Amino acid sequence: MLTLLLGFGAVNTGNNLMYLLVSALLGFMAVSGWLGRNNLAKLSLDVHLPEEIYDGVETLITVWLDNRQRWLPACLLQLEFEGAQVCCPLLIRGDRIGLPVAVTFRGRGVRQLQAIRVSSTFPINFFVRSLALPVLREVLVFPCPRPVPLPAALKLCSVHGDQATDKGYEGDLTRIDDYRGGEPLKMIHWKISARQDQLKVKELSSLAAPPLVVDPLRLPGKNLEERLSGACWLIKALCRRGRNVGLQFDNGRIPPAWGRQHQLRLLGALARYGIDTHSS
Amino acid sequence: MVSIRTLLNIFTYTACLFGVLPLYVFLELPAQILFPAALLTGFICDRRQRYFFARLPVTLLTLLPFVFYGLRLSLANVVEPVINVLVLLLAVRLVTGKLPRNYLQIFVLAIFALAGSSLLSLNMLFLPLLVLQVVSVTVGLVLLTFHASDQQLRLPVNRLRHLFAASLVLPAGSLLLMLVFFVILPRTQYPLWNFLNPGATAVSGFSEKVQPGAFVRNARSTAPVFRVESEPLGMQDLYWRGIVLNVVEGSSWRRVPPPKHEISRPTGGRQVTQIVYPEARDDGYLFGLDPVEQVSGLRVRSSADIVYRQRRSSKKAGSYRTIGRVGGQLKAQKVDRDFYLQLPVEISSRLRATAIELAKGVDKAAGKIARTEDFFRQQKLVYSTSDLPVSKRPLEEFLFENKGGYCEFFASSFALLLRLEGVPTRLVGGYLGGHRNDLAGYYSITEDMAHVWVEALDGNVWRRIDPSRLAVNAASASFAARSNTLGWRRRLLDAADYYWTRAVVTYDLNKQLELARGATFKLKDISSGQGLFRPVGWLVGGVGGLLAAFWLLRLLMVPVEKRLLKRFLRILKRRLDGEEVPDNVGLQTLADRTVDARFREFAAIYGGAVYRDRTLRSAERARLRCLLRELRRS
Repeated sequence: MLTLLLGFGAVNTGNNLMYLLVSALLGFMAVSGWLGRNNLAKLSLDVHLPEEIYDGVETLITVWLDNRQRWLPACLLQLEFEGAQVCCPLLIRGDRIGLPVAVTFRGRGVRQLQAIRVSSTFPINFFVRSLALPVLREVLVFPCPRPVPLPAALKLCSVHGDQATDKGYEGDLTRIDDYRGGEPLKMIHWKISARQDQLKVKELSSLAAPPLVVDPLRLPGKNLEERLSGACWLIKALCRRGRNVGLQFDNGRIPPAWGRQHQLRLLGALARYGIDTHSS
Repeated sequence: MVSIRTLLNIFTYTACLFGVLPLYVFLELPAQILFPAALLTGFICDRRQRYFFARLPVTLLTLLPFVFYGLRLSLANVVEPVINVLVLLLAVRLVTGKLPRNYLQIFVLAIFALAGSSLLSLNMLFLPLLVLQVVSVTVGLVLLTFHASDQQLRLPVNRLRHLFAASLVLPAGSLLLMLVFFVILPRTQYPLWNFLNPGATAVSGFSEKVQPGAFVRNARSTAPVFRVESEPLGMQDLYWRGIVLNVVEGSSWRRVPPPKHEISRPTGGRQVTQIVYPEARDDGYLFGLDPVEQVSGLRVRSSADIVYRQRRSSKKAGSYRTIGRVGGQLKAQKVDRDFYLQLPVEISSRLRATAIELAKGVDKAAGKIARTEDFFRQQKLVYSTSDLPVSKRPLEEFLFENKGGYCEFFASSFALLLRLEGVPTRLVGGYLGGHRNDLAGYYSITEDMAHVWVEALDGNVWRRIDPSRLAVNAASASFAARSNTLGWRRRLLDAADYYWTRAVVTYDLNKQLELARGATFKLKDISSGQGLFRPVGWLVGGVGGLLAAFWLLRLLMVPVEKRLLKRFLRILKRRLDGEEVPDNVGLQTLADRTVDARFREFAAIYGGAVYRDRTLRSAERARLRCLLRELRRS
């Protein structure tokens, strides 16, 4: 508008000094356009996803942004990803930055990630230039964990195998045995040792509860999603307590086990359960 | 960490300063006082983030200057009220709190202020101020964009450096493109709003009326009047003809249209073509080397007494071409002698008696002229620009009592005496001399070089007589020293001003067309193969030179160790038949892959220095270079 106005003035007055000013403003418009375009060129990004992503739960995802430009920094980048936004004021040439984005995914199952929209008002706050950078990644969204009353839920789970017979350090006293030299000193039963003139140690049972197999379809809930959500919470809770957990479906079974990878396997199975049925 | 707001404020204030500076002298007192006060107050307030004035009431207060200056607005007075309002608005914006949009308003007002200054003065100071303002505004706008995204944003210094590097692309690119756009933007031959352009500055030398005895002291302004692109000429030839004064009233001379049917034609001598770049002036008189044969390049009106005037009064300075005849004569035909012999009603008896005495026994004009010249010499007149006679009979006082005066006294009295003797005479007003600037090959004519001489009809020739040269101090008088060269600083400044006028101020539609025609001819030459070598050679040479400079710069920026290693790896890769050379493999391991012991020697010397955190010694460098040479040849 300013350029137009001054240009009009320059043409009508024939004043070359005003022509100089208008020329500079036109040059400014051209260069700012190029600079704005260049600002978003040569940007590349990568998304680092956490292992556990739950339906409807805000999750921090790290978007790694690379500025592969040779000379200029990338300025005032606004990233929009799955409805969340994050800003990067300045990314110098050849630099890489990780931007945490709080994202909430809706719906369990395997999801193709949306393209990340990078926009910028640089260099002048008159226009917003944007660019969609595709993210060729899939994400597995677990059901949203829904707390279920634990005692009631445990009754619905089937106990897998016998009472644990492993030795432990926290459970009930199971027997008194001879000291073999490897037991911790706190396990020595001093009173009996003194009476029998021989070192005796206490043998305690392990507190580890028996392995459980969760059957989501037997859990309380209005529909399948609620039951799966309950199962998800249950698996997480049990794994946190160190219980061996398995999963029972109408079409298959995952035997109880313990560990991080096993937990992810169980949650993954919950995430995928019935998706094909839904889609058909 | 540096706050973006602080930087933005600095650039905002500099933009204002560069916008208002060129028009400051044209402002009225309130604006002259309020603007610097607002600049200072605003800066302090911005630092403290506390403002004395609320935004809304002060904005409403700006209606007052709007009304005040609005009432003074007229077609003859548009620019001054507008710039005063602009500067007052700017002052108001500076002293109040600033939202991002307010910063934008300030930038816009500052640009308008600079634009307004172009309607008041065509001084070349505009260019550096324009460059500085473009830098301030563009970098300021980038900072404003950052500020608008986060008003508390702070960046570390090293990041700011990158930000500035990116921001400076804007002014650099804008200014480069400005040169292109300036040349190609469309021009009109007759701008409609010409009246808005700066008027001519007060002329102190040349005038349309010669009136000796009106002032005690002759003004001596050194303001340039015009510049002439010309070959070097002798001082005695530098008479720049402008106006002819043909009617005498009392002791003053003025111009009326010369008699019809009169014909004047320059003949003889040597033709000299010149290009004249005049400063803007209102009277429209065009100057040329006397006698002027032709004036072209502008729409001009010429008269029989060789006076050229621009047909359409234009405040815009434009250049024109003249052809003068050095050493030539002005031949006249059908001259109305009576017209050029008119005398004032009252003439002093002493002057009349002197004229009768001088004409006694002489018939021919040449004889009368010679006698009058002798008379002037006998009177021992002194050329002087001060202590001039102010009276009702200045010529008589000049010739017989005071005996001192400047060119107007000499020329008026000489012409009057000749008319009394019966020789048709007229005065010619213009300039004498010129500062030669050999740097740019032109003469600069300043206001203090204004001069008046006499033309007397001798037979059928208007003969040029300069009575000022008959002064006893003619050799040392100020008018005689008008070709003295200026000091190098002034010459440099004048040359800059000349190029500014030539390239910017006088650039118009004609020059645009000329440029386009020139480019077309050059293209034709190129397409026909003629003259192909030179432009292409220059182009290739220029690009090649730039690339070479760039390559050399990059080379010099890389340490010698890196350069040697790069060469080594290149040779090694070739030796390994293009096999991949991974980055993470040690130099010695790589060298071991070959059977050539020289590779291992290189790795040992290089590793011995670089891996011990020291630079290579000169002997080591020499040995490595030698090894690389041998390896490359083998």
